[in-house]
Amino acid sequence: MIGAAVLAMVVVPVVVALVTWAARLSRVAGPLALAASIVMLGCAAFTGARVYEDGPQSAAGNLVYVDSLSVIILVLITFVGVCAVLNSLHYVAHDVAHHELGERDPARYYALLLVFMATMATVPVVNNLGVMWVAIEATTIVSVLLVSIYRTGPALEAAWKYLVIGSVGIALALFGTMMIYYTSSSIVGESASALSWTELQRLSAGLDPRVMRLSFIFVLVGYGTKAGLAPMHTWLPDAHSQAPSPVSGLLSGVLLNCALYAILRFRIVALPSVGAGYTDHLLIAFGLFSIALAVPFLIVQNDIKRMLGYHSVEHMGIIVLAIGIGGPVALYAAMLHLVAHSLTKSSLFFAAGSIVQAFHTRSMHRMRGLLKVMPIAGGGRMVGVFGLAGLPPLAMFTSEFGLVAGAFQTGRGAVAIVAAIFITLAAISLLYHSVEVAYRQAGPKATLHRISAPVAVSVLLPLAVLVWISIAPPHAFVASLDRAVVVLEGGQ
Amino acid sequence: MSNAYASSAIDNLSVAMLILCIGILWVRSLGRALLLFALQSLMLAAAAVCAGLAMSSTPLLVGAGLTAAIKGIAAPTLLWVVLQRIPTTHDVQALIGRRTGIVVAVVLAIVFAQTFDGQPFVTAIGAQRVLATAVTVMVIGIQIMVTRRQAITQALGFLVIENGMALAALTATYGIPFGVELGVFLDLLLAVFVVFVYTGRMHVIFGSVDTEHMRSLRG
Repeated sequence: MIGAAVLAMVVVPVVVALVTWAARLSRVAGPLALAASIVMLGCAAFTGARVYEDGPQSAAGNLVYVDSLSVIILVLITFVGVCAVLNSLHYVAHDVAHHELGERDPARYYALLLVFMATMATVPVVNNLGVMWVAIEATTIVSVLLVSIYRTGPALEAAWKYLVIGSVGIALALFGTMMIYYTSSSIVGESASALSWTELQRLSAGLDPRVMRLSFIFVLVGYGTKAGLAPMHTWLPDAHSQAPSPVSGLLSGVLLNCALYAILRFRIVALPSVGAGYTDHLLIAFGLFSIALAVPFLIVQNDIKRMLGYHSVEHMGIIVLAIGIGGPVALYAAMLHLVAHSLTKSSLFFAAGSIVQAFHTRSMHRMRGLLKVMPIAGGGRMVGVFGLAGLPPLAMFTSEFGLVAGAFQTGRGAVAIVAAIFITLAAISLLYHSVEVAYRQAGPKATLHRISAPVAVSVLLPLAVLVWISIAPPHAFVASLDRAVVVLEGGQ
Repeated sequence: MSNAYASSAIDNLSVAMLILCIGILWVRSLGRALLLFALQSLMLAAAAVCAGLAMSSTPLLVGAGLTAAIKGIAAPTLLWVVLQRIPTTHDVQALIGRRTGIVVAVVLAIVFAQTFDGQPFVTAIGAQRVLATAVTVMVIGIQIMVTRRQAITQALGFLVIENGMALAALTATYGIPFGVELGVFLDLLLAVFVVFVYTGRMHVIFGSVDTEHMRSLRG
């Protein structure tokens, strides 16, 4: 059954995409994509329920392996996917009406969007590093095409930069993958099982530490490029700001998680042979550097979408830092932060899309009276901003607190203090920019700008879930995070 | 083919690939750079044939055929078509001088020869240099990508990186599992196709494929 659910989750969107694209069904492409994305969410929810009740599941001759860690990533991808399609319905229609997209572009757009979601959903469920690499590289190629769907100079520039830097990064990750295969195949022989997570985890203590150290650094830099860690992040603000906003929401909200997931899995495999000190120091260094580097760009940022892009660099840094600190408290904080960031950031990008379409500008200096002009998108944006700034009682407060507490617990107080200073600076600059946009007196010609119901749902639904898991987290959610922490510590 | 013969052949082919890499840094004409790259891919295919014969492994031989067809012929041809379509100055434009670039590449080759020296990096059939040369080829590919401004050269740099990686995979580990390898080839082909489409668009929008024109996104 798990095999069928996973298969449907990947095959249904690809088939719908091919039909939409081949038959040029621009008019019904949106509803078709929505149906396919709901099927994906259903399959993910079913898989999640099985894993929650019966523990890790494998299928298709051990090619598919799903445990608590993969389920969290998977459910986020499909949930944000449904919201992104909902958000696209109005967004694409608006741009076609304003001749920013051509008559035939909707079919192309929805087809690419569905394939993009299918490739992302493949990443956390495959039990083979090689296949996972192929899936992650495929996400790059498909999302590059989505970034450049507007045929403008800046969009092409962003897409090119993303393709070039992303491909080099991912190539390094492939080299790291091969080095692991090199050492593991010397133990189990040349076969696909030498690349499977479960097999590697079993063998992990016997892998050659010298090869594993090199492998881990290649993988960290490679997939770290895709996860937007500084200093390999330079493509991220460009691509995330030039993409259509629903795609930005997916890129920032869940694609970054896919790359992080790969790093997390490699860390589990590498730990027993190279020792915690090695991986931890690297992760802490990349995490702190990402947080610190984002801050100056956040302070001077005026473009509403670029600002969100730099916040992604910062928050990926926070998650990686928490993983590097290690220990149950910080690892729990990392998983909670990952979930909260996905929900918040996707909602903020969806809202930003409507705001940019209404104000005809991305410059925050030129947006006035957002709360009056767009009460729903503007109000949702403020909740999202409070969440992203880590204000209590929202989940990122808990997770950032957990990061600091975990750091002190493991004797890394200095790291915690430096991180806390930069995180606070980032939060202050975010609040400063956003409060100004929301409350500045609207111009005399400003009129109430309504957004359509699907857009409102796409903005508010992730926030509702965020508030839910922040204030009254259901038992199943907490238990799932706990189990993911066990997986991160090398258990099952 | 005996193991000793195969491993020395692979070592020599890998050094030839490294020299072709430096050749790509040296030549001024984009067309010649493409030709050198095609030659490098054929050397890679030959190395795969050696490994395949030594191991009597059919997947490796099939992989060699795919390498020759896709990296030796299809990808360079596609980029050649771009060159013909776009009236570009055929000169390769570099951010750092050619001579400096070659010095950097040679230093890198020496550093990696030291890093990848010793027991865990000797391949099972006894090829000793191939992993070090493979990594050097990859890093010179990165160097080509970051120091050159023409979009076509940047794509070429990416393909050189891929060649270095494939060299490491085909010889050090006798190839990754065949299904994975097919996926890698598919992704590579798609990436080159995207480059093909984008260079056309760049020419329409900016009137050239010099990436210097794409500097509007900053800060």
